[in-house]
Amino acid sequence: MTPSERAAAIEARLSRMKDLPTLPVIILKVLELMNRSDPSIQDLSNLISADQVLASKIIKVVNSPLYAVRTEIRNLQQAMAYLGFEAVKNLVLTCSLISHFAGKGAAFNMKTFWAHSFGCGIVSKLIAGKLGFESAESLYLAGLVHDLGEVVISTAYTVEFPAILKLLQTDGCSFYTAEEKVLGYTHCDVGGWLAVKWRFPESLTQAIRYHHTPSMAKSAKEVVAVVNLADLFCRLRSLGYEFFEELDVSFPDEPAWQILKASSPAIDSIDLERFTYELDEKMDDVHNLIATMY
Amino acid sequence: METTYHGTARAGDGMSQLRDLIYETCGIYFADSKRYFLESRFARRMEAVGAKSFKEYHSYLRHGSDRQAEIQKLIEEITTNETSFFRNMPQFQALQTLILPRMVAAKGAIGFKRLKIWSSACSTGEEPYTIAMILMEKATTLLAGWGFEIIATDINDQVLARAREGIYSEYAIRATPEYHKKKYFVAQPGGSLAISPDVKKYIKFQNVNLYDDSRMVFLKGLDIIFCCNVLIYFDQTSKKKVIQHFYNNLNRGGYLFIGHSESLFGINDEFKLHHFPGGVMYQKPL
Repeated sequence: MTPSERAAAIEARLSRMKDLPTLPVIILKVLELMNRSDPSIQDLSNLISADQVLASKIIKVVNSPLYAVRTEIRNLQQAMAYLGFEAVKNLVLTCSLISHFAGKGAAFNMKTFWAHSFGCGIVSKLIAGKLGFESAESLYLAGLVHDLGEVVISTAYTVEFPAILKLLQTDGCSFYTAEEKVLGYTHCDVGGWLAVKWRFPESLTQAIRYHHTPSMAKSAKEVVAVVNLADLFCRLRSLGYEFFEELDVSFPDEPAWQILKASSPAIDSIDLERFTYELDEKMDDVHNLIATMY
Repeated sequence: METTYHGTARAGDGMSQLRDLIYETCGIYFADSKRYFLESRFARRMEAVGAKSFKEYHSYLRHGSDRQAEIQKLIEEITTNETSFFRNMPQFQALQTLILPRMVAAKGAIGFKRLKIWSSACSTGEEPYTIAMILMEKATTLLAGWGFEIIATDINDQVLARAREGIYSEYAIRATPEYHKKKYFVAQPGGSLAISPDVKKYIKFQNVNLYDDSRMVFLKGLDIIFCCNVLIYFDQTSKKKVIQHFYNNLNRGGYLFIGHSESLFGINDEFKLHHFPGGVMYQKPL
C-alpha cells in the first residue's frame, strides 16, 4: 500500500471506533508545559501533586536500582532536586502512560510491552548520551512511546491480531513484517495516526512512524535513528516481545547507524560489545521495575 | 534521570576500576549482578598480596612489580573451568536458525556440501558433542546430503582423554533437553551417561596449542570456529595473534563464536561484529 492508502485504510478503520485509547489528561498537560518557552519545575510539581497515586509511583521508581540513588528519596521535592526537570517530567509521562494502558491490550502481555518500551526509552537515552547529544533526556520519551501503535492494534484489531501473533511464532519474524502481511500496514502507521490525533510533538510522531524505516523520516532523523537502534538492542537483549525473532544485526550496516554517523563520526569508536553487556544490567532492572508497577 | 554509565557499581570504592581493568586485560565483562561474587574472589587475592582496599589492589594490579603474575592468579580465581552440554543456548540457536541456513544456501549454490567446524578449546568435549547433536538433528532436513566434520582441540591431554571417552555425570548434562538425552546418550552403571558412538564418529579430537603458529596455519577451510572462555587467559599480543589465525583459518563468510560476556573490541578490526538474540558473533567478510 502507498502511504496515502495506508492512512486512508487506518482512518476508515479507526476513526469510527468508540473505545480508542484517549490521551490521559496529565500527559496532555505535561506536553503543553513542554511547549512553553520557560516551563518551571514548580508547574510540573503542581501537576504531579494533584495526583497522589502518580506521585507515589514516581517516588517508587526513583528509588529503584535503575536510578542508583545513594540515599532514599522520600518526596517529590527531593526527587526534583536530585533528578531535575527533564527526568521527572519523563517519569510523569512513563507512570501515567503505564497506568492509563494497564487494562488495555487484552490479547497482549502489557507487562512485556511496557518492559520493552521502558527499556527502549532508557537505551535511547544511553545511545544519545554516548553520542554526546545535548538533549539525551528527551530521547527517552521517543523510545518510550515508539510502539504505541501496537497497543491500538492489539485492542482494535481483534480478528487480525491473533493471526499476527501466530505468524510471529511460525515465521520467527518481527511484528512489523507480520503486520505488513496480515494488515497491509503496521503499528508504525497506526501509531503515527494516533500521534497526530493526540497532537504529539513532531519528533515523537516521527519516531513512532519511522522507527523501523529511519531513512524515510521527514524530520528529527537522528531521534528516529536512535530509537531504531535502541529498539534493535532491546529485541536482541531480552527486552523484546517474548517471541524468538531470527534477528541478525550488524550495527554499522544499519541505515540508522549511517544517519547518526553523518553528524557523530565518534559512533564508530563505540565499544559495542561492552555497551551490549552493560545494557543487560539495565534490562534486569527494567524487568524488576515493571514487575513492581503492575 | 542520572543513571551512571557503569551501572550501579559504586563509584569511588575501586570496584568499577577493577572491573574495567579485567575488561581491558581479559576482554570479559562482569555484570553488576556478579558484584558479590567478584568481591569475595578479590578479597582472597587481596589478602594474599596484603592489599587493604579495592583501590589498593587495583593499584597493585596496575603498577605492582609482579602485576602479570597477579593478573593470572586473579583470572584463575574469577573464572571457572566448568563446561556443560548446551551451555550457551542463544549461541546454538543462532547456529541453527541463522548460520546453518545461510551456509547451506551459499555453499550449496556452488555444490560444495561440506561443513567444517572447529571447537578450539573443547575441554572435556561437551561443546563439540553439542554441536554434533545439533547438526545431526538437521541431517534429514536442512543438511540432507551434506557432510560435516567437527575438529575438537585442547591443550590439555587429560581433558582430551576424558572427551574421547565421553562419559558424563548428570550434572554435565543438566541443560540437555530430554529428547537429546534419550537419543544421543547411553545410560551407564552408576547413573552416568555415555555419549553415543553415532555422535562420536563426527568428531576428531587433537591436541593443539593455540599459541603454536606451526599448528595453527595448518587448520584451514573452516566454516565456524568456537573459542569460548579461553581468550581471557591470553595477554593482548597473544590474543591478537590467535584471533588473526582464526581469521585466516576461516573461509570467507565464516563465523567465530566467543564466550558469553567476552569481547574482541580493540583486538581485531577485520572481523565483522554481528548481534543475534542473546549474543554476539564475528564474521569474516564475504
